[in-house]
Amino acid sequence: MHRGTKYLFCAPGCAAAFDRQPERYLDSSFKPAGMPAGGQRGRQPKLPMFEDASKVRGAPHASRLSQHASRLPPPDRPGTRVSLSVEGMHCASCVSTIETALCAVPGVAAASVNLGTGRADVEGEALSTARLIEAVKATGYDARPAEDLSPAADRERSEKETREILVRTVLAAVLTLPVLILSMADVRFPARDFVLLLLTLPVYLWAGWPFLAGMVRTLAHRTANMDTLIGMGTTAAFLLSIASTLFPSTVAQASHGGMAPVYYEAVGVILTLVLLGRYFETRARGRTSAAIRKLLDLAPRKARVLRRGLEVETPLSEVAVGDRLLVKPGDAVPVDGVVVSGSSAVDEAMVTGESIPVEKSAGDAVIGGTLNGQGVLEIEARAVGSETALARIARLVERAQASKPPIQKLADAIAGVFVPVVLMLAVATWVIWFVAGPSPRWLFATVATASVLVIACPCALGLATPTAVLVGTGRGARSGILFRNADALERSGKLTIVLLDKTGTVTEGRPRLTDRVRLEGFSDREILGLAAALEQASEHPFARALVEAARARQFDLPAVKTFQSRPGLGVEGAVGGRAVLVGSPRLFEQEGIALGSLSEEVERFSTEGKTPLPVALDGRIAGLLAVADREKPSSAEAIARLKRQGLKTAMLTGDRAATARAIAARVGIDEVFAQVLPADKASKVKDLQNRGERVAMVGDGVNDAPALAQADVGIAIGAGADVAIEAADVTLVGGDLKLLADAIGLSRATLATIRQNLLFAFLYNVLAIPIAAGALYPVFHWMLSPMIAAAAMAASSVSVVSNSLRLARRPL
Amino acid sequence: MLAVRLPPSASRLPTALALVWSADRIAAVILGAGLCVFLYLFFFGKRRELAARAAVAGSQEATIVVSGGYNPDIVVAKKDVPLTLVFDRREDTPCSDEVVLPEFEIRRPLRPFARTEIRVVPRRTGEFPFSCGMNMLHGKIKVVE
Repeated sequence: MHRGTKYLFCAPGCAAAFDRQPERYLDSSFKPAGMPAGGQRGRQPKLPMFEDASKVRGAPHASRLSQHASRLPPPDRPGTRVSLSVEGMHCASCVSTIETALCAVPGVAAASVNLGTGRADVEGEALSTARLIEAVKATGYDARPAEDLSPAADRERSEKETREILVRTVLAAVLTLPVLILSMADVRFPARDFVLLLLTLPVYLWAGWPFLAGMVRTLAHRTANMDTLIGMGTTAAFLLSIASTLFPSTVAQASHGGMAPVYYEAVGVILTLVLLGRYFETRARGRTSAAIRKLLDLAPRKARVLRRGLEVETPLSEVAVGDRLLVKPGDAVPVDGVVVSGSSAVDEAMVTGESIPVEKSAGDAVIGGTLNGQGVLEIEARAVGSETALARIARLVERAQASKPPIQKLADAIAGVFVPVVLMLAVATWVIWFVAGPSPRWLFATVATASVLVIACPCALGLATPTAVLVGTGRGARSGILFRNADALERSGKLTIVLLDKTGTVTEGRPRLTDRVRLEGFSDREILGLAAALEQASEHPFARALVEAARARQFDLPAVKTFQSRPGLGVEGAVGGRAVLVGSPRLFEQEGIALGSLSEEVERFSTEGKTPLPVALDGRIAGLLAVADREKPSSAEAIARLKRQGLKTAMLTGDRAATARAIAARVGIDEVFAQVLPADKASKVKDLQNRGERVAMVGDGVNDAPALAQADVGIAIGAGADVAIEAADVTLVGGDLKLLADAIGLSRATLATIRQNLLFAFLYNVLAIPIAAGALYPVFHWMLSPMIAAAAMAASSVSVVSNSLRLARRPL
Repeated sequence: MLAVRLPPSASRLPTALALVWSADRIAAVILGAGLCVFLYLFFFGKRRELAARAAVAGSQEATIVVSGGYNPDIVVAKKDVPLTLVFDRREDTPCSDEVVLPEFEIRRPLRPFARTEIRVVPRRTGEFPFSCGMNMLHGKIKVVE
């Protein structure tokens, strides 16, 4: 109430704020940030008053603010940014009350409260979390530091979760043990059943609480899951036992003169075993996603930033592009960057899978998360935060892990209806036992029904594929094999032929000078030196090879006077007072310069896969240089491994057939498609597919994107950290071709694991449910104890996860 | 322990021929059949759609309570507007440990008793399901123009 007008408030904080300064809010000139003008009853009360708080829910204001909040980077700069978790907010005006209160705290530059997430993000200088909380509390709301979102806190939380399950398990086991002994030994004493009831009650209510609560929650949503099954199964057994305990004579009568049976031990043992299974399962599942966490943990938390020549230890999140960083021996490289000075061997195994440390010096790129060796490096940051190679790899892996392979479709369809179907089967079990079972019919019926509910294991079915995909893709990422999605993983396991691009994939993609032949009267210095000098002006890869070779021999390269390029043939010009001609044998033919005795050599080099480049000085043939793009050292071994995996291999290149065949022969590739224009690569892939092959196309992802896309599996092989290769289904981060066989091996193993898991999960449920229902009774007069049903259920889901985890330990 | 303890009064299984269709047996069959029909309708029958229209203003946001299922289980969102889904998980059963949005290639763990924000940009119209990691709890995002 204020001056005879009744105002309603959505939260106590709003009322408190109003009470302190009513005029402030009634004054029409006052407009708290973000509040729309025009409120109730023409008095334009801006801040606190709404007759019905529910009207305000979902006001556009809230989402605008949340949008603002979501633009803020994660809260990880202590002092400059504080995040609070605020409770008790109901409407947009609560938001502005709290924002106003926070902004009033000294040092606060900006505060933004998100109604949707219950989070307040505060920016400013020298902030004290305690003071901010105090300010929020003064307005009548409750606040505490926002939950730590770091991986470490996550781990801690999940550990706490598993511990809690363990505590429940232990309590269930301790109380169940005497129940089990008394029941099994058939010890009889007065009020025995009451003692058992008292021992089992806490097990049922406390240890079994997660299942009971889950059962109620799912049923409220008209869904069902494992909690529903366990909750119903144990409740059935427990209620039956209580009835027998409280009304023994009635129950005994219903059992046709028998005794009143109790199944307390079954309730206890079921809950103990299922909890134990859940404990192991939770622990094992935590390990399935460990790979990606490990990947992100590679980056250090702090970096040594050089500011005005001084070394300042700075949180990683404050490192900006362009900062100079110091990487000391044994340090992890904090961000992606370029070496400015110093040299050291850097172990990049964690990102590229390459086990030998790579020598880095000024000008070389370094990847965040890799491990520096013995030297000191000064680097300039080029990519930070979510832009680093490591973050992009992690994102790629996360996306792959989220996807589903086609093989999962059937399992998904079954999982969707599994629990309701089991519930119907349980009903049918009860009816059949009651109608056709032995006496006491209702007792058998209830026990069999409980067994059916307990033994059915939707988890095994649900975990079969995702855990294997999670572990498989994680294992790959650890070695530099990135699958784009689970579909790619599945297809990679079914390939028949691997088609490799030559340049940059099988070979290094950098031609080098391999041979020199000089005719009498000419020196090396003349031939190579002058040819290289002339080629300095050219941009052809062969030219670079010659220039590099000349520089390596420390020949000085005289200035070029005239230069003329003969496209596709070679170059000519005047260097150091001499007329120089370098190019293909065809050029010499055209120029009418006889190769003479060098013709044979030209032939020989061609068949060896080299490109011969005759050199003429002053119109006379002087010598012969040969350049070749050499195969990578690991290519031959990689091809051999592919063949051992039963795959056919083929090479695709624009080169002449002789050159291509020579290289293919050296590395062991079966088939060669030479003189294929870049535009025709995709149609070559299609030809193979028409032959009935399932084709993997391997290339560098730059000029063969159409072929990569056409192939069943496009594999991009990128040297270094450039993982932005989106066209590819699989990216091999290191340039090493050996990863190819690893990738295919891994995908086959993952696929095999998925098949085993699915087969096991299907078979388990298909066999176990009828047995639990009593299918064996008519033949053997034997029915399964619900306790064994619980043990089987727990074991089945744990074995599926363990089977998937085997992939992580698998050597590639 | 392997087999169920049977009360001493347990008799042999009556053969199908000897089966007497007493009133209680007939009642059990009718009751059981009725229960099965009820279960079918309960789980697979047409549901009242709990649709929530995400609040739109430059970005859209919808809070989904995760507790034995998703509430609301249908979120209506606008195409091409960034959508923030806030999963407010109020339980710790492993059944809802993860949420999977296949359309957006997202599989995200949901912390128990905490809110997890997932940001997506719906690029095409249609219905895109999301589910728990084992595909047992279901919901969908309805993207409209």
